[in-house]
Formats: sequence, structure tokens, C-alpha cells
Amino acid sequence: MRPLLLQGHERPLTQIKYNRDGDLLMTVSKDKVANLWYSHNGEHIGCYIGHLGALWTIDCNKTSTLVITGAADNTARLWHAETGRMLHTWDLPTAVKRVEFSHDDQYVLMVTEERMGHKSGIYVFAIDISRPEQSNEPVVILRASGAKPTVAAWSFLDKFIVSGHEDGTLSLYDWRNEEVVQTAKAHEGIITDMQMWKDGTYFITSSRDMTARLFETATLEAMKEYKTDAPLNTATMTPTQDLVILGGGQAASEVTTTSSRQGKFESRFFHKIFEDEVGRSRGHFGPINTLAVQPDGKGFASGGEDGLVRVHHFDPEYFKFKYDY
Amino acid sequence: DEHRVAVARKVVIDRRKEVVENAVARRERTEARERAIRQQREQESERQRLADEQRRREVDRAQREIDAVRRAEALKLAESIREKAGIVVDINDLDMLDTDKLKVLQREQLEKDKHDMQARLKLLSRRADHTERAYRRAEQPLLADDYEQ
Amino acid sequence: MVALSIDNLPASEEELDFSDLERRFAIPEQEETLENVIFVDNLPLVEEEKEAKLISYIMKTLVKFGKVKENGIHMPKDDSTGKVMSKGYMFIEYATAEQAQAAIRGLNGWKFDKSHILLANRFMDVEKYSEVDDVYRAPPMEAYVEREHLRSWLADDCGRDQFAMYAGQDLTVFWNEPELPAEVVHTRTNWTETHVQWSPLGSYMCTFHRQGLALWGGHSWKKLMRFVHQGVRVADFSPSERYLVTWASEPISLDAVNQYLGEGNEHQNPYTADDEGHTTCVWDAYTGSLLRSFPPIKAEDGKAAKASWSQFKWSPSERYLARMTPESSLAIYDVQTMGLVDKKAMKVPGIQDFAWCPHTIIDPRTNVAKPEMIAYWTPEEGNLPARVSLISVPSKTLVRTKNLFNVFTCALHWHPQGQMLCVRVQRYTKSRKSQYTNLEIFRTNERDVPVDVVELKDSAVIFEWEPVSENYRFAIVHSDDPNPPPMNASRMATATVKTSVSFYAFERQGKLVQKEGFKLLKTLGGKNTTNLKWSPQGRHIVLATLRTISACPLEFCDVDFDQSAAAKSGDAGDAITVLEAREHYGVTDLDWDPTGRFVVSSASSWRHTMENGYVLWDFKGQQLNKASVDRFKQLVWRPRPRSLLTEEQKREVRKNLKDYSKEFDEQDERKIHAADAELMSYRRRRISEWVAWREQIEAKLQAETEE
Repeated sequence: MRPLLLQGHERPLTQIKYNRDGDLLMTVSKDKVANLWYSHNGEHIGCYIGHLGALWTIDCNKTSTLVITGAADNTARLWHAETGRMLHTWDLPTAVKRVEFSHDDQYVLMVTEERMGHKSGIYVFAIDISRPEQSNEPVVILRASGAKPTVAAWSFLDKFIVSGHEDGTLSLYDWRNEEVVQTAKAHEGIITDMQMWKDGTYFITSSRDMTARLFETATLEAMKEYKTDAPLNTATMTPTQDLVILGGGQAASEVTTTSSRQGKFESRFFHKIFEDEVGRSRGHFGPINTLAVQPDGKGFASGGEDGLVRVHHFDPEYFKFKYDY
Repeated sequence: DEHRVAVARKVVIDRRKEVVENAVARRERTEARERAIRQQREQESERQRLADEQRRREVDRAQREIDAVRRAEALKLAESIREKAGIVVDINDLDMLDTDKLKVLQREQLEKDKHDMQARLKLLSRRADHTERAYRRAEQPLLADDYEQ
Repeated sequence: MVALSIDNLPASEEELDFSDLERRFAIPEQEETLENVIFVDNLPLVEEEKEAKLISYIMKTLVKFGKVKENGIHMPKDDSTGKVMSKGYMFIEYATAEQAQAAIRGLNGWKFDKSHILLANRFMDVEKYSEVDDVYRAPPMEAYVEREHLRSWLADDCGRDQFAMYAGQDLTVFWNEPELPAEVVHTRTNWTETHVQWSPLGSYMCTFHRQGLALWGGHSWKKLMRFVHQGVRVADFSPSERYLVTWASEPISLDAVNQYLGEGNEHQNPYTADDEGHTTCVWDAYTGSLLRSFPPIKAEDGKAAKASWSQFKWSPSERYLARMTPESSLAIYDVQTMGLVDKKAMKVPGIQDFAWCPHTIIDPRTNVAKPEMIAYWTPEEGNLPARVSLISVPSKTLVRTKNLFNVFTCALHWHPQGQMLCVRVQRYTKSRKSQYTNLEIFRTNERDVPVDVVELKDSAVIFEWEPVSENYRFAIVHSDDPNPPPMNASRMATATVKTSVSFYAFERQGKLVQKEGFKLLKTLGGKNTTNLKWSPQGRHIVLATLRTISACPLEFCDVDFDQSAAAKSGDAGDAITVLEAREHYGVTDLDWDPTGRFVVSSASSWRHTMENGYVLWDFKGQQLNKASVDRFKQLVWRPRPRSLLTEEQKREVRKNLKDYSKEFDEQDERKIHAADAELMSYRRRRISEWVAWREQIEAKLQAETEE
């Protein structure tokens, strides 16, 4: 089926996410605006306006009532999902690169940038859904001993927080005790994305080292590896088929001509278990920065450096696709 | 009295005359109008007929042109089929075959040709492969001796 | 030191352990004395009684170079046949190393008698191949026995061919598999430093290193030989692989070589002071000895000319090596002695290019090989016309010459079977404003060498003979614009050129043909073809657009496909059919396997980083395999020697092809079946591992949730 093209952004996309029901799609970009869309037809519902810098990250809670965004204006903001009303602003020392609600929606983690003499950190705030104002006092701040964290996610039962770092390492935090229980070298380059399986027991990482990998959360043990020929910005897993989707590409400055084929701006499908590439999907004119799969597995969306969001609904053949074994 | 009667009669006669004249005049007027209307109708219908005739002729001519073009196309197609696919379409049958049918015919023929070509190529390829392998198999016992030299 | 074996092969030159040699030469007296010993081979075999006579005869010559030590001659003998016979070689000990050196120069190539041309070498060189023993055994013989069967790969049970692939730092030899992924034969990291090459008959794989080159082969992929030549860039084997020429852009430096070999190993240095500053070396590939080196050709300003490389060419019999000094002379060396034929080079003022007739032609009447031939051309000079000349070697007599006018440039294309020479003449129109091409085709195997001329309206940029055909077919790429398209930094064309491809064939005079000569068969227009690649068996050809950023078509043609159409129209050109038109994004190279069954198109990271890797096609353009290979550089098919089967035997095989076919079909089926089964079981294993892990992790999660 032809993908829907969402043209609501003027600058590169930084993150896109489906809500748990899969009917809504949230997109953020460097143009300071967060947009909300119906995923089935691409209709624009509204936007969250207020940030003064490029937006890096977005998430919403399980009931789709609250939205949190993080931006380069050193704030994270809480929004009423339906009306777009701003409820709260957290002021942080540096840009907020990644936000994520815990599985029980009680907490939110925020990964901050290392800049202007401030060390980066993973801030955890408690969320009180009974009132708009929120505590500005973090529950904990996790500091990395080595390279700065770039991404982080909640583990199964919210027991741990896993972070991915600039030098390609992973850390597993017992966050309540502010203790690192495990570290592992995951990649040769910066970790650009980390997405958990729905139960938080394993996750996928992507890196500029042109690989994506699958790790068991509890042990940080590498389970699978997907090799490509392009630096990767994002990786996601499909919930119903054993597939992973990877996105990335050479930045415009790295290639001599701007042919999209040469830039390798394709979403690549790999078999999750066999690690073989099974297909590609073209269409972006720049590197793919972010990928998300609809929670029911019926489609996926990609956001590119070209400012476009492409929403794909899988063809019926896709569901029939099966390896012989 | 008589005079009065005569005068009265005259008046009556005049009156009658007048009435009759009026009636005649009215009838003539009516008749004239009806005639005019009838004539107008006739003229109109004649014009209509002429226009219809004209239109029909035009349609006929267009149809003839279309037919001619179609026939030319069909001829051309038949010719190209004959050239490309090697089948001969009887020109006399052309009226029976419209271009769509011809195209289907052509497609079928091309598909058949392609299929034949593939089959032939497959045979060629198998023969080439097996010949080479058979040579090598036959050469094997000779290799050691040759190398000794 | 542990002896070299398959298991402990050094990965590179630098890692070679010479400690055994060092130890062996640690005895001081011996080190002193060995420098002055020479080894002379190819002497006549004599009975014991005649030994003294032979020695006294040869002594007369030996003393010319210096003083032979007392008892300094040793001639090994063999009594295995029951009769004591000399073994055809001797060791001679001179008073000094300098005298020994002089003797080598003097004796090597000396025509001892009608059938014996002597080979003289430093004992040190020979010693490399043998153990030093109280009794000298025959070193070259031993080296021979130790060698593995270098052609064992020809005996593959499935009749497969090999190719070498260089990607990243890894060099790998594969078996080509049409239906399955290629099978690794042998692989090593850092096996070569720049590129890889096969010898012309496939016996050796040649790797290039900073310090020289190495030959590999045999079943175990052992190093068979190495040639110290620092900065070596090019190697060119003689047609039967006996010799090779190597070229480096940097001059030979004795000191640098000694430094590399390390103290105490100077004896391994193949060079003498005479080689200092030279850039081209001629080696015996079999013994590893340096036959001769050459200085770079000096340009008029005294500096070394840029490319002194392509001026060396082997004759097909590999008896001669010719070298051109551009614009001045042509030197022909007898490889046996590495001396000039007639002791002098031919003066050919203006000479631009030359080419050996590539095939030794046997005279059918006498059954004797005809003399070899060289073609060369000289440009217009003043009032003198440009000229193409054919000479016979070694007599250097002129066989044929032809004058040409308004010549811009010429290119020489010999037919691979040696019976035709096409001179592609690029000419100016009278106004000198534009150019066009004449093909002057010399029938070199016929009396008086008649010349046919094919005049084109535009310029032929590519000319390729069909390697095997009865009527001398050829194909050309021609275009209105003879200039190459603009290139980027890595020499990829940034634009396409409109071209046409035409096929020609020779027609003999006959009932239907009045005028004998070359006739146009067919022109395929509207192309942007840059390269023509004939199958080595002829008949099939790929029209390719290589190294072009914006286009990548590959067209697979069969010039004999539609024979019925050709028969019907009486026009052979009607048989030419494009079987399949394909594309390979980013394609840079295209090569046929040695048998014409398969074609590999590849995208090399030497040119760009777009989808590097290769695609395997069959001759009809069906894609069989596609491999994306990170930092793919090069893929080269291993050449094969000529089949040992006679025509008779081949006919017999073809007659029984049905029986073979049955077996091959079964063989293929078994193989694919096994591979499928293996893949299926591999996948099943991985799935069940995954499922087991999920079950375990989900149970654990369940337990923790309940806590």
C-alpha cells in the first residue's frame, strides 16, 4: 500500500512514537513543534506549542492522557494530550535528549545533554496524575562514570534503567539504589537508538557503527546482530512478525552526490532471529532518523532528515511472509 | 310605420351584415393565423429535418473516418505482429478483429515467444554447462600424467 | 625453527622467520667461502670416464673470469641407473666473490654446444632450495619433488571454477557455485597489500607487497616463490607462466633490499651493483632467479619517463621479450640468454606502440611453427606518412607495411588466434575539424597479407574481436564523440555518451559473395555502452556501461541466437539477439568465467562506496547470486590451461553427453537438497533456541511479577 506522507514539519524529524493503542502518532522535529496525528489516515489532530528550541523526544502515558516532550531549550514539558494545554515545565541544566514514561506510568526518565560545564545525567521524576503541577525535585539523578548517555529505557517491571552511551557501551542501573549493576560494550560507535520489547526483557540498539543489536536486559548479553552498510540512527522491532526494522544513512555531508540510493536512506527489514536482511523500503530523501512500529504490528512509521514522516500500513502479503524452517 | 319597419329592417340587416362581416373577418384572421402557425411549423420541421440530416451525415462521416483509422491501425498492428511475432493475420478477417482483440492476440503471441525463448535458452545453458563439466570429467585422468611432464 | 607447514604459514613477508638460514650460515669460514661459489646447470650428461675431459674443456672458459680454487670444481654424479653418470650440473669455487660474479655473467646463457645453453647462478640462490649436505644433492630436482600438484584444482569433481576475491583486508579463494553461495577454499587476512592477480594459466596466485611479490598455489596454498622487488606495482607473466616481468616505480636500491633482508642475509639479495637504480626485473618464475633487470627509459630531459611499464611484451612462445623505447627503438631479447637478438635493438624512429601476434601459428603443410610476428606503428612526420609495419621475429624482416594519412592515432588489435590484425585508425577529416575511424584489417596469415578497410562515419571507441569464431566477427562501440566523458576523482564517468554497437564479420568470396571482406551484420543504436565483453568461447557478449554514475545497463547478447531468422533473410545479422537487459547499480567491472558459462559484474570500493559487492549471472543474463561485500575491491576468475582433450576425445564426450547429463543433474539435485536441508535445520535450531530463551525469560518475569 502507498504510504501516507505527513507534511507537518519543516525540519528534520527527531523522534516519532505511537501511543499504546496505536491510533495516534506523535512526531517531534527540530522545528520546535510536536504534532499529533491519526495513524490510520494521517489526519492532523493538533500540536503542542511552547518549546523554544529544537525538540528531541516525546512520549505519552499508557492511557494516552499525558504527553511529555524534551527539547534543546533545556526544558521538558508535560501536556494535556487531548487539548494541547501545557501543564508543567521542568527546567533542566541542559537539553533533554530522551524522555520515557515507566511501564507503570509513575515515573518519567529524562536523559540530558553534556554541555556548558554540566555533566549529562539521567533524571527520574515522579508523575502525579491528580494535578497539573509536578515536583521539580528528581527522585534520582544517575550519572555515568564514562562517556555520556545518549539514550535510556525502562526495564521489565521498571526494576532497572538501561542506558546507551556515546562510546558504544551499555549500563544497567538499579536506579532506586543509584547503582550500576552491569556494563557491556555493545557497539564500536555512538548508540543512536534503544527500543524495548513490550515486556522490557530485551531491547534493540542501533549505532553509527552500521550495526544494530539485540540484548537481554537482565544480563546485557548480546543475542543478535544485524549488519548493514550504512550508519544507523534507529532500530525497532515488529510485535507480531519476527522482524526488526533499521534506519539510517550517510549524512549529506558524507556523500559526494545526493542520490538517495547512494545515501542508503532505506528502511531495512531483517529477520529478528536469523539475522538475514529480508527487504527494504525506499522513499526518504535524507537519512532516516527515527522509526516506530504500530503496537498491533499493522504498520510502521519513519521520520527523516528530509522533514517527512512516512506512515506505512503493511500489505496483506507482509503477514503471509514466513521463512521456511 | 312601414318606413319605420323598413328602417328597422335596414338596421337589422345592416347589423346582421356587420355581424356576418365581423364573423367572416374573424374567421379569416383566425385562418390566416393558423395558416401562419402551420407554415412556421412546417418550416421549422423542415429545418429540423435538414439539420438532422446534416448531423447524420457528419456522424456518418466521422464514423467512416474512425473506421478508416481503426482499420489502418489494425492493419499496422497486424503488420507489426507479423513482423515481430511471425504470425499472419488475414487482412480479410480484419473487420472481425478489433484492435483490442488484436492486442490480446499479440500479447499471447509475445508471451508464447518469450516462453519458447526461455525454454530454448534453458536447454542451451544446460547443454553448455554439462558439456564443460563432461570435458573436465574426461580430462581428469589425463591431468596427473600431463603434470608429470 | 619449526619447518614451514600449512599450519604455521606466516601471514606476511615481514613475519617470515629466517632464523634457520641465519643459523645455517653462522659458521664463519663457510660464510666466507660460499659467496664465491657458483652453480652451473644444463651441462651435457657424461659418463664417469669423460668427466675429466669435460672439466678440462670447461676450465678453459672458467679461468677467463678469475682463479678457480684448487679442487674447486665439483660435479655431482648419479649411479641409480647402474651406470655412473654426471647429473648435468657443477659447482665451481672461485678465489673471490667478484670473480664468481663475473663468471655468472659470462657463463649464464653461454651456448656450450648445439643443445646446451648453460645456466649460471650464485650458489647462494640455489641453496635456498636445498639442505647443505656433505654430499651435494640435486637442489632443483628436490625443489621440484617438494612441489605440490599445482593443477589439482582442475580435478574438481563438480567441474567448478575458482575465483579470488579481495575485500577489506581479506583475500579469499572461492569455488564458484551457480545455485548456492560460493564456497570458501582458502582465506587469509593481509594476504596481499594492494591487489591480487593470477598467472595466465592459473597455476599461481600472485600477491603484491611492499617488499616484492609472492606466488601461491597448490592444494595447501603454500607460498611457492617470492621475488624481492621493493615497491612492485605490476607483474606480467609470460604466456606459459615460465617467466615474469615485474615493475616498480621506485628504483632498486641494494642497501634498501639488504636492510629489509636483515644482517647476515645479504646472500639472499638477488641484486648486484649492476641492478642499482633499475625499475624492471625479469625473473624465472620457476626457480625464482633474477634473469636481468632494466633501467627506466629516460625521457629527453634525462628524467625517467612516466610509464616505462607497458613497453615490455612477451612473445606467445615466450622465447622473446620485446621492449619499446617510445619514438626511437624496439629491442627484442632472447629469453634463454636475456641477450639482444643480433646483439642490437632495432631503430624505429617515432614508434608509438607495438604488439606481438598473440598466437603461434603452425604451418599446416610443414607442421612447423611459423616465425613469430610483431606489429608496430609510427606517426606522420613532416612529409612522411604514418605507417603500420609487420616484422618477422627473430629475422626482423619486414612482412608487410602500409602507409596511412591524416592519422590522429592508431590502436593495434590482434585477433586472439593470430590470423588477423585490426589497426583502428583514428583520422581527421580534411578540414581537420572532426574525426572518424578507419579499421584497417590485415589478414596476416595469408600470402602478401591483404588489407581490408572498413570506413566508419563516426569514431570507434572500443574494438573487440570475438575470441573464437570461424568468420572473424568483431564488435565495436562507436560514437560521434570520440572524447571520453568527464570523470570524478575516483575515475567514474559523471555523464553518459550516446553510442551504438555494431557487429561485423568476414565474408569469403563464394557463390553469393562477390566482394570478399568485412561486412556489417547489425547496428544496435541508442545505447550508452562503454565496454564490450565477449565470452571466452565467443558467441555471447555483454554490452555494459561500466564506471558511470548515472547509468548501469548490462545487455546479454547472443550473436547466433536466431539462426532461423538469419537463414530466412540470408542476413547473418538477423541472428543477433539481445537475450536480456539488466542493470547492476554502481557496476565498475565485468568478467566472464574462463568457460563462458558465467559472468560476474562487480561494484568496487576502489571507485565508490555504493552497494559494493558482486552479482553472478549466467551467460543468458539470469541472476544467480548476489553478494553485498563490505569494502569489496576485486574479484578475479582463476584462468585455466587449455583442455588436454583432443578434438577427437571431445567429440566422443559430446556423443555421450546424455549419460553425463543424467549424472550431473543428480549431482546438482543432491547438492541443493543437502544445502536446503542444512539451511532448514540451521533455522530450526535457531528458532528453537530463541523460543526456549523466551519461555525461560517469561517464566522468570512471571515469578518476579508475583513477588
